[in-house]
Amino acid sequence: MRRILAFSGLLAALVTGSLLIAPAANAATGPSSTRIDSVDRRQQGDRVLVNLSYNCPAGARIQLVVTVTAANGDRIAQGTRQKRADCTGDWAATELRVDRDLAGALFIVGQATARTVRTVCDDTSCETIPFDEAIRIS
Amino acid sequence: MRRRIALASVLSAFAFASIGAAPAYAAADATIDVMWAFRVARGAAVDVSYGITCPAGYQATVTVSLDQVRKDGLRASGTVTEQLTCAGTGVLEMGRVTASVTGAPFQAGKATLAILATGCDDQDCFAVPVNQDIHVQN
Repeated sequence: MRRILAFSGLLAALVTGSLLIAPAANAATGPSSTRIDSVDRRQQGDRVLVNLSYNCPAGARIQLVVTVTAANGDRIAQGTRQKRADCTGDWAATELRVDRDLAGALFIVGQATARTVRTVCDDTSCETIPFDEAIRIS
Repeated sequence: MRRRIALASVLSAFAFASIGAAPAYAAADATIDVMWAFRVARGAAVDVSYGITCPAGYQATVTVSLDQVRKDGLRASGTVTEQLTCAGTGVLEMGRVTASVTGAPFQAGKATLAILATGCDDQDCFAVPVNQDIHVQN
């Protein structure tokens, strides 16, 4: 009889315990942000020079992937460039040379859109955040 | 003694019932309401706004695709994928769909919109497809 009671108690404890265990939460790396300060046309539209500022927690590392997309008549100009940097905890500036995808058109001066995907990693985890912003190619 | 046996039987039954109930994956409820679509950067992209309701705590992946045959017969298309954590209540989201580099810029007018939202927690998943025409506004 005692065995039956003990077995029942064990099962009840197991069930209750399994219900109380919460799934592990992803550790946050801390606040981070980016902004594109300027975009300049270079090499007759084969390239744009992106000046970008970023801010991320000291000791972390950041990977930036910037894609610039613009219309040129009835075609699309697009290019992507990525860069890695160490975080200082303060705003820092960097420069990315974005070459156009040869399947598309040349970059021209005017309105465009940029997508910056930042991946910030500390020793325990990474966090990936995309950000779209309207830009002007000068 | 009989009371003890009865109690042990009830506890065992509860325990097995609880264990048995966990894998009975009921489909989670989620909905998407398409709001509007605005052309940006001379048609280099379109901002698609939609409302999404999905169970709190679920990690959702939303893919937004836009396809358009322009008045001049050229095709514009693009896809964007976003990650979000469900709030349990309706939230307004916006996906910036950039035009494919091999296609043309988007124009104002009719386009075909496809949204697929999928998400899971530890036990259950949902999938919500939306396919409809939409008017891209300037």
